[in-house]
Amino acid sequence: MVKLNAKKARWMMIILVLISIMSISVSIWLLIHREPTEILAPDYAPQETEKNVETIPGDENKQADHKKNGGSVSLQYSDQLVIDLKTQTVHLFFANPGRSNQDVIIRLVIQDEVIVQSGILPPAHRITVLNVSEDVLKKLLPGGYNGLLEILYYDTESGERAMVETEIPIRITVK
Amino acid sequence: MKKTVSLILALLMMLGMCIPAAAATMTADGTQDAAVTATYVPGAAGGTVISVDVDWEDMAFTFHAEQQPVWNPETYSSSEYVAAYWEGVGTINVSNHSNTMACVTLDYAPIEGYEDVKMTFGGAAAILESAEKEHKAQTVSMTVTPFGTLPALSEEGTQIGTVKVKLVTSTEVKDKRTNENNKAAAETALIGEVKPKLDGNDDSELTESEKEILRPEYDKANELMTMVANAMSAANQGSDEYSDMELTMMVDALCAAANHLQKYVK
Repeated sequence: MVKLNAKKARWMMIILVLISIMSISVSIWLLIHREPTEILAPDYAPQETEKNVETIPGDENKQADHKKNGGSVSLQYSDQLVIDLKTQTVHLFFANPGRSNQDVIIRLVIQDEVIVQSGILPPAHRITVLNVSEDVLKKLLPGGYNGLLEILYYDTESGERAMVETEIPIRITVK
Repeated sequence: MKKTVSLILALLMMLGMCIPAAAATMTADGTQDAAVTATYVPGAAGGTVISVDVDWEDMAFTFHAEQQPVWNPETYSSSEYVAAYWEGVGTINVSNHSNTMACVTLDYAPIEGYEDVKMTFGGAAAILESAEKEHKAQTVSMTVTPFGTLPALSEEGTQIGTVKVKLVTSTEVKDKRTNENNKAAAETALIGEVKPKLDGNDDSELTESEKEILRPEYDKANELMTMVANAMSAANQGSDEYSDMELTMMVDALCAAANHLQKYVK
């Protein structure tokens, strides 16, 4: 009887060791094959205008002339923004005044990961809130982050993406 | 039965070990604590509101491949060798309408397959004073000139890369010693490494035309170096013309200019 239990225990030990090896292998596989969420910027502006966009009150500036292989933008922005985990929103201030001749798309990047990308922000429009997906927010903790606002430009006439982009380092508070 | 249950539980616990590997959580740079209670702040995010204009033009360039001499039996002579060259110079103008200093740095990111083409700027970094000082916008004009070789068979009008205009208007205040060290490192890079290569007192592989393209960028970086040195010197003597934050931005701009030039001469 004792011999039988010892035999069983040995088998149990072998099985547990095998399960441990399997678990470790799966963990290593997941770590190696974990792919970052990457959003590729389109070469032509998407048709959708950002749903949270609003007109800049009183901005009746004439759009700058379109120059060949050129562009003109006026940017107004705040260098700080807040990400609210509870409401799943980014609170920011970014305006593309009427003088610009480029549509604008904003990307918020933290530690090389795109947290949110807006729809089109046409000239004479501004944005104060952006919605963020729940999945992305799971990667953030309350506290302070250094991030980047990447501003992509698309010609308002041709929709073609400009060769010039703007990067703005910002401070982010996650609450 | 108990052993079977134990075995299943052990299996579940082991598989649970895999879950942390699949999840990723970013670490906040400042103070952070998972137990901190979140507080909703409605409305604007606060901070300084910055107003900057960015204009660019002529951002299309043509590469002329080198032309080897060709024998002409009619004239009994060969045509002249023509070295490869680029046609076109782009311009980027940045104006600061804000009541805070803005630092502008340019960088270039080539698209895959076009890594042999680089862009030089007639100044990869510039400091724009607050518009409050002279009650008008401060503007800087920077040139964009291609450098290197475009692969043959590239389609006409192919996008080969992106010029990134980085606007820095606020930055963490570094301590004075860090500023001094970074300034010294940038000065060493410019004077010790870049200048000898541009002057030809070094085993540089730069051609004369490449030196000609890079020299304006070096000159602008040198101007910036003088400006930063003067500002730091004044601050050390008690002047409050520039805040610690502004000095940090200026030193960062100088470092960016030095780093950009180093990329081309190494």
